[in-house]
Amino acid sequence: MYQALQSIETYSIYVILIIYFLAMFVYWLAARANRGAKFAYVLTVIGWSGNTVALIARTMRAQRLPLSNGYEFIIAFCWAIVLILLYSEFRFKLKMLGAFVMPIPFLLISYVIMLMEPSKTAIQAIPPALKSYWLVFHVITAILAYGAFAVSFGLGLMYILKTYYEENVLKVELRLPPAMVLDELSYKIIIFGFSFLTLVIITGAIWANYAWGTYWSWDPKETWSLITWIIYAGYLHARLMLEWRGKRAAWLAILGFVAILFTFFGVNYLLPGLHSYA
Amino acid sequence: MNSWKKKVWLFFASMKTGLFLLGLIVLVSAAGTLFSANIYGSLLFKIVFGLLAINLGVCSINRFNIAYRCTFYPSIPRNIHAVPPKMRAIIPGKSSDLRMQLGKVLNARGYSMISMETNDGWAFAALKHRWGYWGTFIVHIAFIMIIVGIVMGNFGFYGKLIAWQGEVVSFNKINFNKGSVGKNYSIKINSIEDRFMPNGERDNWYTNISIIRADKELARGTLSVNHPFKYDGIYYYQSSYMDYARITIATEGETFEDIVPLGLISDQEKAATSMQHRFEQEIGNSKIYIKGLKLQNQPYAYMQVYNRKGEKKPTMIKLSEGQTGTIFDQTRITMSELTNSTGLEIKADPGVSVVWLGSGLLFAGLILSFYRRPLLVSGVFTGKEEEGTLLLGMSTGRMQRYNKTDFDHIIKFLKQL
Repeated sequence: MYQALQSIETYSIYVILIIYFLAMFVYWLAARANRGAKFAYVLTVIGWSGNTVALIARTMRAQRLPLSNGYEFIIAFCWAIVLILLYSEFRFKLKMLGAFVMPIPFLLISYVIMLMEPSKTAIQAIPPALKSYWLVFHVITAILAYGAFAVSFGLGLMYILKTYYEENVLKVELRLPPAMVLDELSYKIIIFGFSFLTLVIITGAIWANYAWGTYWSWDPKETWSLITWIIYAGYLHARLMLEWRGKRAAWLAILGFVAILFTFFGVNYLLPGLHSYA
Repeated sequence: MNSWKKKVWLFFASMKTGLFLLGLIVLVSAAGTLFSANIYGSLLFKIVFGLLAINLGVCSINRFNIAYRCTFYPSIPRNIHAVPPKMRAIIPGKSSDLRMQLGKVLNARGYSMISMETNDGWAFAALKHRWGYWGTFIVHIAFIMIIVGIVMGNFGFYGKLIAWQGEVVSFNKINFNKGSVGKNYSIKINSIEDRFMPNGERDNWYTNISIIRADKELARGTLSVNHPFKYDGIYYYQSSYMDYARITIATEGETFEDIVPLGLISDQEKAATSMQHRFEQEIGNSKIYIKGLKLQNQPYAYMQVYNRKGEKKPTMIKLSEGQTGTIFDQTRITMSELTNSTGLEIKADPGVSVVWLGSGLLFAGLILSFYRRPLLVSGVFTGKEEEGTLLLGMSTGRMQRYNKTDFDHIIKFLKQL
């Protein structure tokens, strides 16, 4: 049974990679030709289903939720990105959003397959510090927050490209929704992500206090989460009070996601600390 | 207010000041992760946070009056020019019918309506999600609370204790990294355990401690990682664990005793490779160095013994408690005991509750700000006798499309008359 689950998980990851790539490619074609977006959406749904299967198989093998190391976090993160993408496209009738968001889970899964050492993907014993219910709250809120910010990053990119085309900087026409729609949707999704990011930091502080007796220790992961939070807080303030919309807001949304990528990859691989789990 | 006081007030009330301070915190925080963490304890960094707290406080004071007025005294337009301009609609009809239906549709959509008579008709204002006006105020106050809680934490204390099983340590002998406190009791380490599950995975480290005064036990409890023990407002956290071997080396007519820390392996086949990562320890002044490993759930240890001069090849030896082995032909090594130590962190932080309260308020304030945005519909009816025109408008706020949906529904209902 264990071997069967391991095979399911492994093959699911490869299937996800292929389908996410196909979905991304079809989205790109659809952005130029203004058709095929529905097919891309269906492919994305299939890919997300495969992502779900991989997570379930991992859960059954490990006898716990797959939230304890970098590999598990990346798979869960991709799942959340695609879930929020699918919901956003369905709810707000945005056909081309996937063209700008799907590269992210595709690249993350590629990284897992091509660059992650087998020892990092193996199921390992959880250290005592991770044996807490707060792990579940903390990491689930993180994947939802980061997933939302990935989608807002895509919307920011779409806005920039839309305005560059309208300003004749970009010669290639992409069938993108009106700029105001992109701007407002980005704002809504950032509100969602920001609320969850606040919960990430609060639950992390509570957990750290139970585990290590201190709710904040300026650990690199904590610090960069705070930096990310401040960037998005700055975005919301600037938008509400200084009427920052459009390009400036789009660039801030992009900068915020860059901070998230550094929070995960930069901190994990360049700045190890107390938080060196995922 | 004097002009300079007013200038200072306006400076701290400014959004740009707040954004500048936040930007500064971002840059300094990032620099701390890349260069030196000492920056976080620096006076300059604390001053920036202090300025941010002042900025938040001033903004909150300014915002309080506005939030109070908007919540309890929504303004009714006196004339058509005062009706919100960006989203408007004109509905002709009978005064009594329109007034009744307006009240009905606004009530059905969750608005609270107030109205008053004017010279040539009547005017109204209707408010929904009124408590949303307090969202931003609550967020700012919450942030100030968190900063206050952090400052209060400076009046607490924090220390570390590493102790053996059976050891009794006076509280006043604990090594405090921050603050200090005098207590007339001691901590006794009753038991220390590195517990494993049936599948071989580590469960947790458990330490059972007693708080004793003059041989009387005041409290007793077990702590583990993520499960601290609390007594007298002080928390005891399980932070580390280490296995040790007490060994004696007899060589060239001399005897040396010491304690060697042991790493942990789950499989004896890993002993050789794992030993490479262990640090070596000199035993007394013997010029003999040892690295040690313990096999999980087994009562023996592996030791790699070096002669520092390099005259003799390093030797790996496996010993159980009380066993003696011979190395380097004439050197005898005895492991008298396998023991362990527990590492505890002892802490009291008077600001923690304030930080948690601030955190809860912060999240609540965000939910109010984002998801319970106030919606204000207001208008005036003007006309001769019963017939006339209702001009109504909605404050657009920052979510124009969302507000428009609500407004359109109200207009559609009224136009059905």
